[in-house]
Amino acid sequence: MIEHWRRLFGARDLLYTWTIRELKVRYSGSLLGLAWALLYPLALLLVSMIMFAWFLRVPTGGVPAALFLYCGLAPWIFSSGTIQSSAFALFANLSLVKNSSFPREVLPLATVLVGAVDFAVSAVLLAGLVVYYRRPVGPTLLLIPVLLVIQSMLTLALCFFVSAALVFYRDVRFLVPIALQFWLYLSPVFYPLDVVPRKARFWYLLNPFAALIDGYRHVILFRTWPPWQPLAWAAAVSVAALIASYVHFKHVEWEFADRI
Amino acid sequence: MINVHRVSKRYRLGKPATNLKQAIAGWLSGRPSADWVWALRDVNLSVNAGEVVGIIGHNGAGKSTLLRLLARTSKPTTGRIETKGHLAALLDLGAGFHPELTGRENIYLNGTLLGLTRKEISKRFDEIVAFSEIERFIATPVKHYSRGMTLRLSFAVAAHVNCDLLLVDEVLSVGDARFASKCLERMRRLRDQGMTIVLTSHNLQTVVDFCSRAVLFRDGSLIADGPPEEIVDLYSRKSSHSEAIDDQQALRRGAWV
Repeated sequence: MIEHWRRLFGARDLLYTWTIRELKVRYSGSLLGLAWALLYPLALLLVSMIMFAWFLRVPTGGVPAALFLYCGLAPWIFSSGTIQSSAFALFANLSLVKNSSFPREVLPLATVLVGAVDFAVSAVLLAGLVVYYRRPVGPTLLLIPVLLVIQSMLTLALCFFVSAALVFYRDVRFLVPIALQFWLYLSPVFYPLDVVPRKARFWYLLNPFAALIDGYRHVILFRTWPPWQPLAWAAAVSVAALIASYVHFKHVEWEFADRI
Repeated sequence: MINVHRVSKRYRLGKPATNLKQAIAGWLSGRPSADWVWALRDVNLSVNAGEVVGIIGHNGAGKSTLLRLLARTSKPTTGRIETKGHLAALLDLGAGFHPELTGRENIYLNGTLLGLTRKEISKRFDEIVAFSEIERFIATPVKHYSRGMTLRLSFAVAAHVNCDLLLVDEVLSVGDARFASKCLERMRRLRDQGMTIVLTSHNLQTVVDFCSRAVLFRDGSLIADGPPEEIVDLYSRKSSHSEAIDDQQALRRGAWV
């Protein structure tokens, strides 16, 4: 394991170069470029406003609906978008995997970094909404880095797993969008945690993403500290998932070149 | 430097199970879902620092498989491989290039793929560009390059990697005859600096001129090991008529060093 880490550290310049490459390639030839990182969440916000704020009148605890929904959407788009594109992180670079001996985890890692850049852009809009609606903020904002670290670990874990799985089973490309749909509606992105029946709350919170979204809303919108048990659970799940998926990834990476 | 100990490698023949249905059917029936082919059988080879080893043999004899295993892109089925020192592999020119990026960006991309740091690339940047002879097009996306230009740039990056062990698979015939001889010249300089080089080649003359040692592969087994003249001679004599035709066709296609 230490040898893996040493090699990965040695490849940090590759990780940087590859991330820049992904960003450049993604936005090259598109007229609006990086603005899409903002337009996509805006479009989702618009349609979810129509559906959940106007038609369904989801309770938001007194927070403007746009802010409430966007506070869940921005982190959701980071995780789901990254996992979706990570599926092809290895698969789309077959010849490279076959002919070059760099540490393979660089490819899914770069996908997460690219997603993080988009997330940073969309977070500016979140900050803008907070200012626009004159929401007071407080010291609870200090918890944001912790939430970000937990969310990134969870996302990276799934990226390791999904990118490796697609090399072996092409079915994964169809399974991922379905799984993400389930995950979206079983996380409090479009509704508050309160609407989940008390009886189901325990099972609902086994999903680590539920505690994360709820956590963001607590610290950004309500200036309160989120309950610590679900967050501790989310952190434990994320760490365990990251370790397990990395070990799995390094265990099967030898077969990538032969399978492709 | 390199120690290959009783290495065998087997591949699936035909299509492996790449969807769940096939995989599940395979598990249920309890029998292997594919035939296997042995690409390497019980290969032993040890290479000392500073040696230049040419691997010869017919197509499918296991030459490229051995280089892939040495480059650690794949793992032997049985046996073990040890290599010491920093390793760079030139298995397929142009594999790390992205058509949308400029020559400059691709130099950094390819260089870091070969294990260089960005700082090291910056230091050698002018040298790489000069060697590849594409100064005028360095800010142009690679998709507008000719095939020859791409290969030249790709070789130029790889030829400026500072490594202890260089693996080269059939990629020395880059561009026109003049550039090919420039590449060979560059390889000679690396050799004379003491770099250990393992290459595969269909051009027997190159092996005789350039290598200090040659090994002959046949059907996945290493069948001869010694001075290049002797091994090349043995290979030429052992080649049956039909295999000689294969080689001639390879020569005509230009798939040789």
